[in-house]
Amino acid sequence: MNQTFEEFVGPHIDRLYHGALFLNAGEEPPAEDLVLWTLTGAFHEFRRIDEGTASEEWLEGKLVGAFLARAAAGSTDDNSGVTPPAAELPSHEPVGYEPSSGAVEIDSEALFRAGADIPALARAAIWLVVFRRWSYGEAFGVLNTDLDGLKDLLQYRQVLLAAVVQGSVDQDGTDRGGGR
Amino acid sequence: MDCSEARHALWPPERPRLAEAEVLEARQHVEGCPACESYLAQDRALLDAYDRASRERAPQALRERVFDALARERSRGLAPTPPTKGRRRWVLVAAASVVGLLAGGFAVSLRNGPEDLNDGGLFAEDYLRRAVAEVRIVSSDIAEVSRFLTRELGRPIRPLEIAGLRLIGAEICLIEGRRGAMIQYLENGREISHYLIPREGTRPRDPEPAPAWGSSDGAGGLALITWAVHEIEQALVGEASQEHLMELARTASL
Repeated sequence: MNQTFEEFVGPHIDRLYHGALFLNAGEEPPAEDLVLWTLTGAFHEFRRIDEGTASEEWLEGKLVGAFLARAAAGSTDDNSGVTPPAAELPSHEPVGYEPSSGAVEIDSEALFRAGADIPALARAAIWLVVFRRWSYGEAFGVLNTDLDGLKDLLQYRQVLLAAVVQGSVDQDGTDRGGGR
Repeated sequence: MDCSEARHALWPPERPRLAEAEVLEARQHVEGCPACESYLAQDRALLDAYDRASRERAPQALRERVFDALARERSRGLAPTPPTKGRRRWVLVAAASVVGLLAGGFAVSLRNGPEDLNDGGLFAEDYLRRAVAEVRIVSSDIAEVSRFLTRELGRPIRPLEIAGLRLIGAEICLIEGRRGAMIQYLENGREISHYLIPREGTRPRDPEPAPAWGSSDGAGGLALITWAVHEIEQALVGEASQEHLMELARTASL
């Protein structure tokens, strides 16, 4: 491979950091630690993989893998459990957020904070599929689930949206999300 | 086909796909389904919010932590040479001078892209990081330093041979993820450092004072000159007058 690892990851650090920030519900110190941990681990694999394998998606998968490993290893936080209890899966009921025009705007900071309202695995699924536009099939392997499991996880998108709307309201008293 | 199946078949919605039967059926479903229409509008709003939040760059401190950690990983197996007491003191004094320069209002932007290497900001960034550098060689032997740099950077790099400049060593530097060389010299007891950062597509550029640093007077005795030869960005920085560094840079670029 002609690139050094440092040359390879340099352009991706910003994107990985924002992913880590969402996965850590807007908390900066653990987000920075996650990026550092991910890239240090990826450095050793980079020397062993075939040319052309390392890519933006490869790093994103590493980030999510590292996040889930850390979440599984140690958190006692109720909202950061890796696997959501089946009984608590959100319903398909629509959130009270009905965009009425193309000018809909969600508070970006509230979006990152709202991640705290959903389990770690659901956060990871939403980051890959909704924000990084992975196909369902691409996301299976990283999340270690199947199609039905992924669909269940993506139902938490509704919970996230509701939390974002509430967060926007709490932030300044203005319902920027379109009403609840 | 229900909502869940249709969304799966069309995800991600921006991706071009063959108009196969399943895709056509999914599109037909979405076009006539208010719930799916709302779902996709919400999806767009969420994605826009995420993209807005992601425009900010990662903290500079994180980038430095990453590259320092990678340098440590890379240096495992090499015998790191600890800096001498005098060298450490000099670097810290120089770093303090640069910090003072920044605090004094000289706008050194560390947010520039690689295309802005000639403004000096990124060289200043690495210059500050020297205090914790670990991959280095201390030697006055030009051949030995050349072998070290060639091995580390994968291309032939040879220290300058200019009368009055005494080689004292070299370090591997990291600027925006690019590994390069910082070769150190003494001239009349003052240290001068020569950066060489390989970069594809770099065109030759004549030596010029880095605008980010202003005059050597404002930098507390430090000056910085940048230039480029084919595919290598270069800089000279040290406790010397700007005019003298310009003269050295012109000689080095010949």
